[in-house]
Amino acid sequence: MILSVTTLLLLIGVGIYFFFRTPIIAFSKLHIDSGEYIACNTNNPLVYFMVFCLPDALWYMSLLLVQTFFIEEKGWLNRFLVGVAISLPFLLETGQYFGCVSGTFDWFDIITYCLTLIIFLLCSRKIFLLLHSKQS
Amino acid sequence: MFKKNFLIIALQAVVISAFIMIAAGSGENLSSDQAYDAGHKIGEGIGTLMNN
Repeated sequence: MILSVTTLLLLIGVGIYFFFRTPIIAFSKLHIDSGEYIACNTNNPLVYFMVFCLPDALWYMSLLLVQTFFIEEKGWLNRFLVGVAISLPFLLETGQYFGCVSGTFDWFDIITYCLTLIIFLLCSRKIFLLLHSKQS
Repeated sequence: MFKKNFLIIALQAVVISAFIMIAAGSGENLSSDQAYDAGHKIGEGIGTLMNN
């Protein structure tokens, strides 16, 4: 169930990139030509959010959902990796800020990741209940 | 027990790597024109700074 949702979220993100964003590295490496992408009015805050922030939010939500499989496992290395995964987008953005990671640092991305984390934490109880009800 | 922990760590490493690859792959692939424009702007910026 959670893996299906994770995959669906990632596919929606890929769809947004495919239809609305300029050519990206992954598509060119896979020799996928998205052709003419749909130009949209990014001056509209809602459209801007849909095109530029939503894919990031979906990517991070997928990552957080996958972490629900690992979060209850013991061992310091596992805990460390869960911590790395949760802070991963913030680490990448920090890397972009200092020029160590390719890409552009953007405060909107940071806000998006924070909001996604808050939404995840608010829903985490339900997600864990869902996970445990499937296991038992 | 050790085997299970090892598998969990390995799986987690794969998951994190996959998500890093997705993040890296979502970077914009600049066309030669865009790269030229970006280089031109950086050059102009350096020129302005040197003149000042």
